[in-house]
Amino acid sequence: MDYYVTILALYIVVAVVACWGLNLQFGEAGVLNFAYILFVAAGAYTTSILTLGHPSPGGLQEYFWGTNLPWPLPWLASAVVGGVLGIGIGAVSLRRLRGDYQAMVLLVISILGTYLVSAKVSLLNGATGLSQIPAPFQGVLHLGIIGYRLFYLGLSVVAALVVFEILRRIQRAPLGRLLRAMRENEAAASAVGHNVVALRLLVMGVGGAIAALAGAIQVQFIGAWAPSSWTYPETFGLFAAVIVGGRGNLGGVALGAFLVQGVFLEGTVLFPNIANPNLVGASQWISLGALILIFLWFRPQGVLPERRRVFGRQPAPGLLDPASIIGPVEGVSV
Amino acid sequence: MTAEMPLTAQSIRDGVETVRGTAVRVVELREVTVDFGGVRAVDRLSFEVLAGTVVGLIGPNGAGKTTAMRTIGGEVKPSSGHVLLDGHDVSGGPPHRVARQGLVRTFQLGGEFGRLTVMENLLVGVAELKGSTLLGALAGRRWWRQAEDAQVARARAILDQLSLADKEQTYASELSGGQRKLVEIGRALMANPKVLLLDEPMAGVNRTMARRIEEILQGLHRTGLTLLIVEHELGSIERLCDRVVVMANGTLIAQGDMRDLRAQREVIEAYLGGKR
Repeated sequence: MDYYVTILALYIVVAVVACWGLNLQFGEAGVLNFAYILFVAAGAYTTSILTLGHPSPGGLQEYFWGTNLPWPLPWLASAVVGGVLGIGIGAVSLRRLRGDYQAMVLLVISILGTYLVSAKVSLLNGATGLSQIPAPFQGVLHLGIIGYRLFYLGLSVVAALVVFEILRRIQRAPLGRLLRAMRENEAAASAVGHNVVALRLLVMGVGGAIAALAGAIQVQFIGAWAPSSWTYPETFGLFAAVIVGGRGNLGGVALGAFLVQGVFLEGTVLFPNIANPNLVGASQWISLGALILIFLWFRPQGVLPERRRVFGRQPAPGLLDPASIIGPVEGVSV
Repeated sequence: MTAEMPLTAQSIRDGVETVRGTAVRVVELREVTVDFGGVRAVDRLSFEVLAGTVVGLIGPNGAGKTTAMRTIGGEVKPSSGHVLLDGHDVSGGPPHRVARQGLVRTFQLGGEFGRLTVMENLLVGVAELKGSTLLGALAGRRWWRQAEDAQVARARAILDQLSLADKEQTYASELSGGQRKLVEIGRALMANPKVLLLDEPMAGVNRTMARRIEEILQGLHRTGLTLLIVEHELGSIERLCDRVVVMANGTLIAQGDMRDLRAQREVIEAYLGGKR
């Protein structure tokens, strides 16, 4: 039972981190990144090749290059790769297109990515994927299985807290307000002097980095990664968590990740296996789709809605009388 | 003028380079043509807006007024011709750059940020604010708090003038149509415009609110701000504008004083459907 709980807890932490990154893009900035799982995969693969060491000719698995870096360098490198990939893909897909078309292009990129890695075996071992990925400090700490899993869970929670603080600062700052403005009305944000293309690339970069970190955390825990782990529907599981929890609210998104990944999707595993052996797998996606629809219809703001920003009353030094700003206006009291 | 400076009567006057009484062209359209595929929306449109004046842009539906406005604002790139701001070519934008140069636009429909409060809507109008970059945001509240407080106070002064002070914490989506228009005007003022481009600021609002918007625009005019207004309500145009440009089928058909234009046959035929 402890074994199961530690695995489930780690999966939830990974989901929370990934959903926070998606929330920055979708919840705050309104960018429909349907290729989000691609960035999680980029992080997982980066950490894999940075910990597996050099590929050996004729070995069990093929990959184009590898080395062996100590923790936390693989995680940091994964975040950098995710960020650069996000800006790169954003530059191609988001510069000239808007809204729905961006989402379609990103979905296609996600599908292409899976097929490319599956087909080109020499790149990252094809559809079989990479395995035996070493976990940090495992040989040094001499902990039992549960003890090590708890230690790794602790590392992951620390990483999650760092991500939370970064996102909280962005959300509270004027930058967060600009992202929400862009989400509400891109043309109007642009019309008062804000470069919405740069803002989109920014959230693609930061969100991509966070997604990649989530992938890095996950891959060193499970020790393997293959294209079947990051097919495009996985993105919609993360979207469901953001929608259910409450887009734009970090606490809400964390709750959504827990509810969707930890309770809802995990709960379907308990369904009785009747009629068709594939029923459990199918029922996960069917119920996920139903959950998204229910929330979009009946509670689009999610369980914990975005918070209303309130500003304190501090007088600004040196401000003139309000009447001097736009002059006396008939019928308007000052 | 930096974004952190409080808005004052003098700073507005400096910012808009008020030169009323002298013929300084602040905006100039030279032979602007806009084609959408095979459709010519604007055809060799030329007119100018003098600093400190209010110019109306009128015409029947489909005349090309909004396309002209979007072209001036940098949202649409002209197929040929030029848009000049203070003698500098700003044709083809991008819109954020045009806005930062001083041409700030409001929208005919839904230009507000619905799920942002009224105060947040106004603060978005500040083009550059500490904490609006990634590094600035990560530096934390201490880094940007003071600059934001100054802008909050400035926004409150504008909200007072717009009689929206009690709506500061209300989401823009919860306001009436007329109040949303006022929020847009307030947000545009926060951007320190040289020229305010208003696309049907009185469309879809009741008569009382329309009159109020008109009075506020008159107040802005008195500060020396240059306004270019697209509007269907001819009474308002007549009361507000120093000069009116009339468009039909993408071209300029007349310009001048509204009272004179009412008597011109081309205007009556194109705009008023042949009836006086």
